[in-house]
Amino acid sequence: MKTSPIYRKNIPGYAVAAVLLPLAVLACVSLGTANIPFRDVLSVIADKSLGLGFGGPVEKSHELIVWNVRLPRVLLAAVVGGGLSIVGAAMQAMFRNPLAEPGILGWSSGGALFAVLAIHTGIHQQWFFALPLAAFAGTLAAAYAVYRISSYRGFVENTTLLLSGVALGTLLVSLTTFTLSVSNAWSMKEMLFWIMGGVDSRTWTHLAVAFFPVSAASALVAFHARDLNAMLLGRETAKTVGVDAERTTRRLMVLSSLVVGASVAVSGIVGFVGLVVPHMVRLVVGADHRRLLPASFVSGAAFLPAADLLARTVMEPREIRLGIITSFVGVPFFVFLLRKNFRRKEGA
Amino acid sequence: MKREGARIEAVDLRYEIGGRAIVDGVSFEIRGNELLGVAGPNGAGKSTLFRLATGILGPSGGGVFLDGEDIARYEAKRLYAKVAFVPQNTYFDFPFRAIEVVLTGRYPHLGMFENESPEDVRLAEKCLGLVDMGEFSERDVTTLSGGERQRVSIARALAQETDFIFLDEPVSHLDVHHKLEVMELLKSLAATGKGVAVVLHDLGLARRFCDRVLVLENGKNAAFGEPSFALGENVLSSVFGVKTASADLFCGNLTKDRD
Repeated sequence: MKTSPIYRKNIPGYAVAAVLLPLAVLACVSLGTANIPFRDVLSVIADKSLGLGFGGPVEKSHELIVWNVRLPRVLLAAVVGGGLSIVGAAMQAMFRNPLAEPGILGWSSGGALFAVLAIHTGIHQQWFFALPLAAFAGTLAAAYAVYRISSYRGFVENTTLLLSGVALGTLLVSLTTFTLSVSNAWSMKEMLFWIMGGVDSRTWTHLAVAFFPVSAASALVAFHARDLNAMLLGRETAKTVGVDAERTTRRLMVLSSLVVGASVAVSGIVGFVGLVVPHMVRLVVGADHRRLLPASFVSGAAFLPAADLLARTVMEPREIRLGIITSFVGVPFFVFLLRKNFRRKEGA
Repeated sequence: MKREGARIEAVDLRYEIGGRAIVDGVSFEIRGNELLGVAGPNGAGKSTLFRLATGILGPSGGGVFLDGEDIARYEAKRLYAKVAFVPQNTYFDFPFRAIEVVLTGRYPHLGMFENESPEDVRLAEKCLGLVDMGEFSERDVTTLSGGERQRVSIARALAQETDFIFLDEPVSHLDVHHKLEVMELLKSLAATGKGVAVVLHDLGLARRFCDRVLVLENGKNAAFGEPSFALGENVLSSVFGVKTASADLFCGNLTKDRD
């Protein structure tokens, strides 16, 4: 008798991830306006992180580019990409809506607004985690508002969910722009950073700010994989296999907001990652969240550095915003899913 | 094994929304070895009654007692290791395979971080076989027809291995062959010691297969007992507004006795 892949140990998948993800990260560090040999990249990282000197001396400029510019940037893209992707996958299941995603549902815009407020009141300088916490509060507030608008007695109405998310998101972006325009630090560049997010000129500090909340909350989200499977069968069926969908949704909204908030706080609004990656991954590993959630994180962590590589190389020497790249990939995908949804409704 | 004399007893159940009673003082019981049919006109409160009986909804009044203990006091996993529910409609929006859907029925039996064992997978495959979906185990459920989805949903409840199963119109989307097959399956489950409750619109099926029938009208208990009594001439006329010239309640034998 054939065993179900659920039971089969997923060793090859983990092996592929363990090899491919570091390779993708290293490739993104190596490539760019100035291509730096792989060997130099490895030797700088080994030297700086482990104190191992091998491969001989590396040009000072290469060392600076690898260690101070590219590595924090690429790692941050990986953390943000992984976090947004696992959250996108979880959101699609908890709202039973294939189009759910932090950007589309206005969550990221809430995070961005509060991050901007934190920065322009200066509280982010008082305490290391004030910035991600503020962004978390903003994300959670937006998430909760959209949830309340579109749900009735715990049932979430799909169209209302999307429309209220988009509408609220637009309002929040307006408020962000307004906050920036009345503050002293106003500049077009700053505004673009928040609305069309990116990981340019990010430092190790930014990475640290995002890394801990994103990784911890993502791990906790992944523990709800089985609950999410049940919730996709509907609220009532979930309940009769012992899963309280409403309580789980509320808990996951908090955890997801932490991931999204911490990501937005350091990289602005990077849209559509949470939409594209989980759907692609689902095609490969199927819908079971015990595989889908970790695989989405890993794939997102490879996808966003790659998108960022495009952002910094396609119009060399100018950089384009990362958010533009993800929109270029994401919007056609969104339209495709939207059309597919119509067809399914018709066929049902 | 199921203990002797397992039963669910619903006492004076009430459920109100906005002051309107959807279920209004209904009492009934299911023994652990019978097939109970629930019938009634549209909007009589059948689906709500099942949601109350399975603990999906909490009652506004009255209570449901499983083996003498109020189900409100059961912890979810303990309750749903004993009671399963098949909803009227199951929509699959995401590409699970049929076997994965059926395996969710094992969740109440698994520990927090425990995964399904090979035995669970074999059981799930057996349950798919019982509803004639054995060949569909690896199929993407979004590609199934309404009737096939319904059968996967029944298999999911069977895999839950509960003492009691509540099915809300489980045969509504099925072709006539699978209708009879599922009814025979439910009958045989009852014979092996499960309590099975099923909402049926087809009174002919109810009379032919059920041990007892509960008839609801406007949220109230209109009749409860053997099919020959609960679906007798008086009830047919007063509740459903039909009469029949034949003992067989096949729809083609019924005529309207009011407009």
